[in-house]
Amino acid sequence: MKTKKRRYENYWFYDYCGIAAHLEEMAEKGWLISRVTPFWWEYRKIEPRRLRFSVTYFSEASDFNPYPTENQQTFLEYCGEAGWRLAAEWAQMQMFYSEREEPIPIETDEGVKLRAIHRAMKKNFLPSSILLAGLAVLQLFMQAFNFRNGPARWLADGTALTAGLLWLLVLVISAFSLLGYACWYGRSKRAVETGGSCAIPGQRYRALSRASTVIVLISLALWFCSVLKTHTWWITAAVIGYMVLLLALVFGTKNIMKKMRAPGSVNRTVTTAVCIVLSIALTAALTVGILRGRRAGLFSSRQPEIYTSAAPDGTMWEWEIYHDPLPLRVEDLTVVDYEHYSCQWDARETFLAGYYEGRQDAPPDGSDVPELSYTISDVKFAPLYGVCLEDALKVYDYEDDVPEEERAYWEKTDSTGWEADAVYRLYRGGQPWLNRYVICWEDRIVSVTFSWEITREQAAAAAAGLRR
Amino acid sequence: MAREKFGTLTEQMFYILLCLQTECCGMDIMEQVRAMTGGRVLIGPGTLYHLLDDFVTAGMIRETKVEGRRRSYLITEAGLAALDAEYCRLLELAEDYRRSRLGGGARP
Repeated sequence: MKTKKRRYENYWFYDYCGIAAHLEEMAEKGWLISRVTPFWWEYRKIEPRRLRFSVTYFSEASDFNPYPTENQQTFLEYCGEAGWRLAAEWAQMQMFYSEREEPIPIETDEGVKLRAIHRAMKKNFLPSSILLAGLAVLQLFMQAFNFRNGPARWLADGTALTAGLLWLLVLVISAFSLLGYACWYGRSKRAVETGGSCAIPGQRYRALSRASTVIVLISLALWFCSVLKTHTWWITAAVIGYMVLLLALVFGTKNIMKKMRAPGSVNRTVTTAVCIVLSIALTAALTVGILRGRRAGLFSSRQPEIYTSAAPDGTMWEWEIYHDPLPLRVEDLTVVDYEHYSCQWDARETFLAGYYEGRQDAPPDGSDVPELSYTISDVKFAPLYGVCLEDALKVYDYEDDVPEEERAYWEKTDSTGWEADAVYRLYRGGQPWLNRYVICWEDRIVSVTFSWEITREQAAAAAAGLRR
Repeated sequence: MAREKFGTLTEQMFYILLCLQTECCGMDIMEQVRAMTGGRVLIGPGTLYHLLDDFVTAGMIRETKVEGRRRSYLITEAGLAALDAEYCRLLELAEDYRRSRLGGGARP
């Protein structure tokens, strides 16, 4: 028979009423809380019975302390005298239970209770929530920066989208938990000042917290499934392994220090140092691993052909030649007799956008053959089309340093042949420049660069290939 | 801070200070108050711990003895003054009640 049970519980740190009610319910089902970890709560089997639970906060308590401080011991003894037994602790929180039918509550003065809760919140919950919210804002700024630098590419990247969504959720949850606590504290303070009781932490916040956990789990599952289909799944596996290893080592260090009876302050310093050093070391190891994996061809589902060419001075050069199928090749547009072309195709897609990159290059072996490169952005959510087009029509930042009359610019051009909604061409100094075009179809934007000046017939052929 | 915080004593503060007119162990206060008030006023262990801590910080009581983890306390002059002030306040309340309910007119 199972004597232990582990459950993921989703309660906010100050939800003392919700936690006590939940623990009473569990005891009635025959499970008594015995341990709280950052990832799960552990229960031990007991005879199902009605136990009264009380959740209190003691600001001096800490997860890093090897044993309760003198003051905490005194507090625990007072509670023991009143028939309350400590079942489990969680940082500054203590979970007590009593077998008495009507025990004296641990807190009988609402003002004192509110002060004790607020002191504990200031030590743990509030700084960590503020830090988390700050980190989420920073991450969202980075995601916004990436979006600005390539909206279609970002929208088509499942990992970036998931990261953006998860950090947004982290921000919402942190902000709501801080706001929820501020409201609860304000309400409780006003009530206590007029002789009333502390407010009951709201059910709404509990529901929000649970809903966000479900969204996080669903997003992670969807992201994981999408990643498994790609040939770079091993990077995701390595990152997940890295995080699990880092957490195991950091929490392992903390627990070993506790077992060695190291003072709380020493434990906190050593654990923080281990966390920083390991983060740097493991990140470096991960980076080296990814670079080696790339060199070993793990980034690609196909192995390149090696082409060796000789420079005029006799030096031998090796080039990687790919043979990916492309929707449009130079040979579709013009007659060319060259067999060392490298054709590369990269595709990424989400429910919001698809982003495809294709290029057909010749190694610099002295042969002067035409080349081609293009990106295709499929915008599946119409309101985002404008921002993607704007990005496609962006000229390089360094153009800002060029005198205005010499700057490159896009201009709408004749769309005959392209059969498109609009065609733009890059110009400089009033002359077409670089044979670069942006072609707009209903939900597709294509940026294409030819190494030669194309004819109207070639434009029609290119449109047929790129529109497919 | 002490005067501001303890300007008016709650029932529980009042009885804790009352108990500590004679040296008393923190743990025994809960039972003493219950006996003193016939069970009308109950002090929870958490509240007792925090109030004793606050009173020591405010200089209203002092620690007199530590035996293992049993700590004994005694009221100080500041604590007695707070107790007296609270008693006067309660007397004034009672006087106002008497005048209002039982007659006797306004205060002189």
